[in-house]
Amino acid sequence: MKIIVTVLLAASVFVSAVKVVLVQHEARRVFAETQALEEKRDALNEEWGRLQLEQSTWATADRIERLARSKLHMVNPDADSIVLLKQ
Amino acid sequence: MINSLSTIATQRRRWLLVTVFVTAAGLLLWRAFYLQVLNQDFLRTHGDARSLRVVSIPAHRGMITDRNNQPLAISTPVDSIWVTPREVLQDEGKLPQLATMLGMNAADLKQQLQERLGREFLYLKRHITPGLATAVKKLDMPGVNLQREYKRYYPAGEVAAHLVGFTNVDDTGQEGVELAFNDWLQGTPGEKRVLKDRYGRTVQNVESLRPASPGKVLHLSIDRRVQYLAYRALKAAVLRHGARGGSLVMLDARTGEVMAMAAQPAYNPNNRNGLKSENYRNRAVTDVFEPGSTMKPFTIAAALMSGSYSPASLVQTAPGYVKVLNHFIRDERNYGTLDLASIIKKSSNVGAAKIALSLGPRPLWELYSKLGFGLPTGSGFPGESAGVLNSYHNWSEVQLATIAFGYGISTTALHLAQAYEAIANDGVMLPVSLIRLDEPVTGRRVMPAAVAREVRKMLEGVVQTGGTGLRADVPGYRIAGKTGTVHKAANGVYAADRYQSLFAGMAPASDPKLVLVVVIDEPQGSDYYGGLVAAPVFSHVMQGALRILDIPPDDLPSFNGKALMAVND
Repeated sequence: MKIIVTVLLAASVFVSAVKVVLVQHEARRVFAETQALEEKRDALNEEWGRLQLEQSTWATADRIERLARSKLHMVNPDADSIVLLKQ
Repeated sequence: MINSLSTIATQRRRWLLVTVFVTAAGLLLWRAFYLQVLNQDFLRTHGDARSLRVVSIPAHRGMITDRNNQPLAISTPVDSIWVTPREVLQDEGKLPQLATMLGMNAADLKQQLQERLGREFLYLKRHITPGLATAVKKLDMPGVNLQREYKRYYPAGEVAAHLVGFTNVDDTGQEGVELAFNDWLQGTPGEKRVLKDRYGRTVQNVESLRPASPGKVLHLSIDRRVQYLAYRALKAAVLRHGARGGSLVMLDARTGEVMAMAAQPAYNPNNRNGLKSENYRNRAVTDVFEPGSTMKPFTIAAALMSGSYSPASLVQTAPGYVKVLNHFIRDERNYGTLDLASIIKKSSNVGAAKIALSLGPRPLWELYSKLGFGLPTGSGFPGESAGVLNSYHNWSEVQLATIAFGYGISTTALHLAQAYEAIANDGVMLPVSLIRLDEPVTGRRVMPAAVAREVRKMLEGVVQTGGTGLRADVPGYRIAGKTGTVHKAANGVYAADRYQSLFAGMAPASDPKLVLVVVIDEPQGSDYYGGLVAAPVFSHVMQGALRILDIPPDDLPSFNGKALMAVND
């Protein structure tokens, strides 16, 4: 009886030891994967930031106004050409 | 004999050798056993210490946007070069190349490194462009490393510079909202354990000790389009009048949110080299001035609240001046008998002073202090000034008379806007907010709704024929506002030729949505009246803002017949 218990315990110690090694390995692998994904996420975030910056530079009110006035020849409507619609 | 002797000698020698070898092997085995089994932690620690490193994961600073999520400040990643001088100097073959890349003199660089030979870490250049970073990486010099950092860019540039502020090279807020909300914006760098090889290259990521948490996004209450309009109009006015400076604040009358806030002179937050720190000051919040005639609406409100005056009450202002003790209070000319609306419309100092003298100090002081004069607005903006409102116990008769038209009291443009917001919001004053509000705020009633509406009606007279603020007019809208032209005090005396031109008002007057205060500091030349200098800026900015924010016109008669009834079906 005693022997069986001892053998079982010894076996389970061995199994858990192997398991620890496996899990540790798995943890590192998954962590490395997370890191890779995070790096990718950061790179995408960076690009998003850059694009936002670019967009807001192109869309400054100053530039839009200049283009509207010079290229499209737009003007503010004067009071006579405004008609008010009431509901 | 000789044989046996030699045999004995040989055998002895053999035993001696065997003993020595066995002992040596035993010692070695024991040492191995000791290190591997009995004291295994020691070697493991030392092994790890040579390969495991804790490195920080950079976290970027949160973005600042306007109320429509348009970016006002963005962090983009850049690299900084750092070196270990000792390692670089060991193999300096590529040093001249590196120096050229960084735009430095090779000899200078070498000397710089030699002077700091003992240092393990030295920044060579911070915040370099991505292209340069790649080139430096390709050079592959020992002891030269790159560090990922974030640089702040302000796409709105000068337009929102004072409000947004800026950060220093270490990404910490220095001015403005960047400083006020630094904790909210700042990210916390994380930490991870990595395996590194002999050359310091990361071989493997081992475990995460603390994840990096990036800073949070901050939504300001301003509208970038309105802000641009305000900035441009203010700058143009300051230039046209050769003024020393100016400031402008626009509030949402229903929520107390700051819709625009500009100051002149301004600066470009993206390139601050060689700039005077004086320009960093957000005058709309930090500079106090005497509000002058723009205080008269509150004097009239106090009169109406006291019950001793009604809108029909008449005040005798002839002969155009009044003597209080040894002090003369004068009007531009003799206006004769005026009702309360005309006192505001003509901006009569005599009228305001006489009303204050008849009320006594207490009712006036009570309203002023309820409006928060002499206290900061609580906007949380760094360096906000409180202004001055002395206790009425100490007011002399002269002080009482002058405080009624805004002398002897000081405030900021932001605070004046907040006080006008109370008139616009039917007597309920709201806390000012630099941040976009997503939920309604509760205000504090400072005057009865009827009084606020009455004062508003009187303020409309200012922008009509015969008023002082005609130039603040916006076609299609009813405007309520007040001009102010204030002599600046210098060394305790009021200077004869230094003025501040003010206009404070709201639109549309029937149901105000926006409050705007314009201050121009020391306009030069013959035009210095608030109605000539500040009122046109008000008109321009208000007109644009009403259009951008889609606020319908309320002055229907001005469309004389061109207003069509839309059919609702």
